[in-house]
Amino acid sequence: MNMERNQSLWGDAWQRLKKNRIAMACLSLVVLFTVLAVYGEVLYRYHDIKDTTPAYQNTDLDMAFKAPSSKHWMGTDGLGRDVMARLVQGVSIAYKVGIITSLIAIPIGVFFGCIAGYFGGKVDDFVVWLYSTFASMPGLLFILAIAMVVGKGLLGIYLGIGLTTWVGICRLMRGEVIKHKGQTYVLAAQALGLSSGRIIFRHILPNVMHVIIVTFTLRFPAAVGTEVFLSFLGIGVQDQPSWGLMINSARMRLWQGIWWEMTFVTLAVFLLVLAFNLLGDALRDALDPRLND
Amino acid sequence: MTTADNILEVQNLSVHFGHGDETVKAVDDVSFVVGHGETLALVGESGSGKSISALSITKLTPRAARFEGGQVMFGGQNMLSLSDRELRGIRGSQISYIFQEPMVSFNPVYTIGWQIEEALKLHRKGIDRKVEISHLLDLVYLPDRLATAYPHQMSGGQLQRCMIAMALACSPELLVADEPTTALDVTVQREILNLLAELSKKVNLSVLMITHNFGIVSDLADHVCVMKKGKIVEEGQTRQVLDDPQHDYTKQLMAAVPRLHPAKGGGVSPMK
Amino acid sequence: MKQLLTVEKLNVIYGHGKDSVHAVKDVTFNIKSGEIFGLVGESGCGKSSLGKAIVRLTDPSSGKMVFNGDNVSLLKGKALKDYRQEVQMVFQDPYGSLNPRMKVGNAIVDVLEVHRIGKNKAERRERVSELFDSVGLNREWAWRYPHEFSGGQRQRICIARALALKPDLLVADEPVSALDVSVQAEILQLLGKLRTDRGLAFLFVSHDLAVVRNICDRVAVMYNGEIVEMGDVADVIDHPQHEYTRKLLSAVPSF
Repeated sequence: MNMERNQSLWGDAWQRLKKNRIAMACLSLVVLFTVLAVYGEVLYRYHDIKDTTPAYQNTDLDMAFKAPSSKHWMGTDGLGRDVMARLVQGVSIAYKVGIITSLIAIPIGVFFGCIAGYFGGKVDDFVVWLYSTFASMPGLLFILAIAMVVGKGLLGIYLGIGLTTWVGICRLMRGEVIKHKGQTYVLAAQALGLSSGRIIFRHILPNVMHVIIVTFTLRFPAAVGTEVFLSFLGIGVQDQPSWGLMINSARMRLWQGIWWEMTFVTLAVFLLVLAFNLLGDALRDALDPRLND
Repeated sequence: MTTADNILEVQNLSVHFGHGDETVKAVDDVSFVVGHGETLALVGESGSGKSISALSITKLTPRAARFEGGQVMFGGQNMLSLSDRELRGIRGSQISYIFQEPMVSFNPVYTIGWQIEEALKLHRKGIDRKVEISHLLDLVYLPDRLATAYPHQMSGGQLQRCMIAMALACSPELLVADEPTTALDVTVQREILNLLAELSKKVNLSVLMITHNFGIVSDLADHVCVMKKGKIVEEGQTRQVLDDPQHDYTKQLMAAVPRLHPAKGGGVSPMK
Repeated sequence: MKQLLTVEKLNVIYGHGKDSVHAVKDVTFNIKSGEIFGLVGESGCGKSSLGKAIVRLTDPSSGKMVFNGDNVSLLKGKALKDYRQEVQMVFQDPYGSLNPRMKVGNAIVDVLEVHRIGKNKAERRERVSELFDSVGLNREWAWRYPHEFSGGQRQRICIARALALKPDLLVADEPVSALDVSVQAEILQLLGKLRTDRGLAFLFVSHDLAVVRNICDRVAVMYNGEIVEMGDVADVIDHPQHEYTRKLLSAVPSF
């Protein structure tokens, strides 16, 4: 393969990713969802400031439980609200939960995992103690406790999920870094006078990136799932439609033949998770220069 | 058919990789024989096809390899026409292999004794395995107590001895040694080479030795085949090839070996 | 010739108390500038620990190392980083010594950046090209990944990387043991050339006296953490004094 001279690892990865059709399809899907999420967020803020009722909250009891039609493409729910509008609005919640909790958990886990694995000794003892402590607390209690402190709503969910789930990635990273620390290229970097930070984050990290990517793609659906659960318990989202709330209400009516709400919401979850997973896999492969000749 | 004197006859063997323009002739019309109780060395650089030739004998070659002709006669059969099942029966029991990296050739979670026993269970029924294990360890000059040791507790040289013990577990007729000492210190290499030389006499073992180092050849082999780019470029009695190499490539390979007493103007000279 | 490195009564001990391993015991020797000094012994004799102690990858437990007139056995921080410009190391395993996710040229640019050599990226890349020339590799190859190279080529890259800082001493820890004899000969020739061209001194660590004979000026034989014999390489090989040296000699295949 004749590659553009002197690109970075990420530059090369992008070149390879561009050639992967499935990855590009998934990327378009992720971009689409991202646009919807931004749109939903803007819409929510707009109505919040104007103090008006957004379309997704418009109730019309005469129109309750209507099957998909040209007016309501995905039908209506028990309060006559348009399922499609609520679904689109839900993207923003799912995104925020999936990404913000990852933005909290992954950096914490990666940082502690890396320093524990690289430095070993007392640092390692401390980190292992720290994550064992966190792991021994039931996650749900922790989330409930945080929700008590910061109040109901999304902030509690972000912090609750984010601060409890870094343990898994931390453990994985610690193991991977220990493995790489034993390799000669790390020793060579030390002999060349590189600082520990540079060795960890510039030399070892790209070699263990696949762990982070896979963790992220697996975390995303798990985080959405937790949000569903917490909203169900009543400590999650309050005044916006989330996919969790929608699935929860739709499952009660499913046996009455009201299939559309459940179908479209689960389809949306499925597409989002699939896109992230396939993209994650492709990215992991693209980041391995050995797989591409 | 193998003649009475030869245990292995490879005739016009060709093994290719890839298709069309990208075909690589890893082994190209190669013939050699290994006599009973004799040691043959295949010598060449990496990529010369020497390892693929050795692996071809029991079709241990990578999946992508294509056999393009020739035959491998062993025990009156053409190995290339046997089924996988028949080949499995021969590997380990009649033809054994030892490889370059003793450190990674053992499963780290089992003891040495357990792993030797595994080989015995597979191919030899109805013997006292405990006795046989200690006999095998004796044969390679290792104390019995090492049967309960794990691979990480042993040195590279000890592990290579264990490899040999395991390879001998089923009294094979042919031992294929693929660079058995490359990963070892010279002192340990010396011990392993001496051991192989002794065993080939003691149990009348035939050995096919793969190496890149002409220095090793002189000590062990009766015959030598020099391989370059998939072809045998020179062959003959070891002494005769060493004393009077005919092919330029052979001369270059020999000149590359560092010597204790280099000639005037000395040093090693790299290949062209 | 001027003394480059003097090592006096150096000890390296790993671990504490009962479990401690005394890897290097009271070792004393010196290397002159432009000299190739061989260190021979079998695995576990402490020769690699000694090599690493000299590059300060392990800390000596006691003893003194004087490099170019400065005591370097206790250097820390900035001073240690500066010392790394003068003493570099090449390792045995050419496959593991290069970061698989980094183009080999970028790995060298990285080193230059850390030590603030060269004004900008373009200048550093130019330097990489020169280094590739000096180890006999095609300049264009600098922007490839390690897996695209053979063992011998990788070892050349490692040498180029070590030369990036223009060291005076290169510790080569079994640099040719993992290579075919034919490739081994090429690398040995390259090391000899670097000595002639740049006046580079080497500590050449090996288990093979025959290799040492073909490249070194002087040699020290190490056994169980101690140096048991030292002298001109021809003298030691033709008139070995210590029994262990004789054992090493008899192990070398000859023909």
